[in-house]
Amino acid sequence: MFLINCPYCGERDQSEFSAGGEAHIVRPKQPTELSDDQWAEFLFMRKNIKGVQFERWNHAHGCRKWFNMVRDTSNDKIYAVYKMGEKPPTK
Amino acid sequence: MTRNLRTANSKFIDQTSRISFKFDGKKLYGFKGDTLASALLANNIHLVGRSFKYHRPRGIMACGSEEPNAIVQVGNDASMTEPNTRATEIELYEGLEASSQNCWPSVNFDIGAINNFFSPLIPAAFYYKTFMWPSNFWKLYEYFIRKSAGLGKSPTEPDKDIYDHRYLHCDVLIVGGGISGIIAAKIAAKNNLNTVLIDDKNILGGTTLFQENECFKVNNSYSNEWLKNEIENLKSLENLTIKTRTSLAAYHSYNYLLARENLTDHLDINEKKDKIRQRLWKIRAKKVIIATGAMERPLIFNNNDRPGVILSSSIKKYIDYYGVKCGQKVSLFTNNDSAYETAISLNNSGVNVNSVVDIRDKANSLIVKQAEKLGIKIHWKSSVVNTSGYKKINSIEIMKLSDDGTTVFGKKIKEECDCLGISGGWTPRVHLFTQSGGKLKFRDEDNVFLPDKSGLDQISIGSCNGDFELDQIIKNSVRLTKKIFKN
Ligand SMILES: [Zn+2]
Repeated sequence: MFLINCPYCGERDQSEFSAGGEAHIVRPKQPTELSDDQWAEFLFMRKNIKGVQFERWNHAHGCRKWFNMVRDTSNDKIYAVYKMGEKPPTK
Repeated sequence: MTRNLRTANSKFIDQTSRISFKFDGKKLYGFKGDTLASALLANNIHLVGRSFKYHRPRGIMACGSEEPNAIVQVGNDASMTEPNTRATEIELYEGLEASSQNCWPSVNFDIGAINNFFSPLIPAAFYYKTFMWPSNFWKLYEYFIRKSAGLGKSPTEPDKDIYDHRYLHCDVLIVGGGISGIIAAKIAAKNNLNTVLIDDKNILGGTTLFQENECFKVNNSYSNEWLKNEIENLKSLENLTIKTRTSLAAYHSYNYLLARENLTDHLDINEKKDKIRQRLWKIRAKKVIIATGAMERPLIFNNNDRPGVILSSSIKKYIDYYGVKCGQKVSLFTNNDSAYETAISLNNSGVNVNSVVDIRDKANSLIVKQAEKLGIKIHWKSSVVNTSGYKKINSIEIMKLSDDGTTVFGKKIKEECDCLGISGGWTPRVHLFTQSGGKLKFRDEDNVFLPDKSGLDQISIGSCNGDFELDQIIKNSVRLTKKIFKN
């Protein structure tokens, strides 16, 4: 049960949030030009890293806004929280 | 009540307020401040259960949450009865009804004990293999197996009690109100930090509370008196919350912890009504200090499971805290100094100490010298090799250990006793630390696992961190607590 620092509301309990999977997946500009495999790749295939991972989270029982988070999945340490559209931290 | 099993001068038991309770249908008496276990021992009842497979008699072995044998059923109401509670953790109250489990028809006459005689014929997984066939006979077998295996009865009607849960946020959570927990609480609260101190017992103080011996002094007073004064001083600290009867149940990541506070379990039956029974605390702590102490290890020898074989430190607590004699002729078996504390306590309370059997060549610590001075017999470099007595121990056999300690030789010495205290050294209670994801290291000198690396903002202090000497405990508790507040 970790504490998440929502960029809009501040520190809240994990139970208020829902995880939205891997972040920074770019939607293809021309989906019609993609093969079925490429489309499936975009739609379904997600990394599940042991270590530092970039994720989307939603403050479902709060401001209901989406934001990004950098989390180490091996020890649940959260390194950064930043708003949608912002550049991910490089370090 | 067997009067001569109580000492007159116990400070923690109110011998003026008698409490009646029932165990296995028999009406017995204890005092306010007793646990079910101490009251049973005061009534000379050791036999409280049966072992799982061979139904060997089982007696009270410890005095706290580490108790493996005295697992009892409390209450007989269809909605309120509770199985698998430890007699050592139940505070005695007027109207308490408890019964032993894992025995049928009764703890004194148990049909399953016949397995003990046939034990060579009963291999591992005997029940599962034998009663598999023919498959439609299971219904028949089940009735008897369930009855004789018996893990207590669950209630058949909905729970009528009221429960509650609440959130708690603090700067520092200290788990364990023994000497190191109290030291840490004082430092934390004086640092202007919002501090919470929890302990599963009804009063703070841990084992130091009844440690009244020349060998354990702080600032020239007995350690128990010094600690009593420290506890008294805690009350004036405004940002300190103390919660007794509260046991920690879980330690999650980000210092999120769950604790259960017992609110009415210790009250008389008619006082419990319409009150909240237990409260679940959901705690968020910035820092956690674990001060859960250590537990004594048993020793291994033939028939070391008889009723009357009790951890030496528990015998000490029963005599010094509850004023209960676990026996009238006590023998002790040890590999370290702590059994001598028990020997001295027993001797001071007028209990006959047969001897201390020590596997070591010799020891010259103050506490051992004190015991020698009192005329307590010591068998050096010896081992208990066997015990006898079916429902209660009645004698032990002692033999000399060889030089390398791997074999015994010479004549067996038989010693009659009605209680045997065992002490195999100490194991730090690192359970919370490991549950929080911490990794352990091994210390070779005294074979203990100690807290090592943790990803959380927490420390372990006191004997759960491997400090077993009083001055070490105080010094390191102060040092480590101050250190955690610096960063
Ligand atoms: Zn929010």
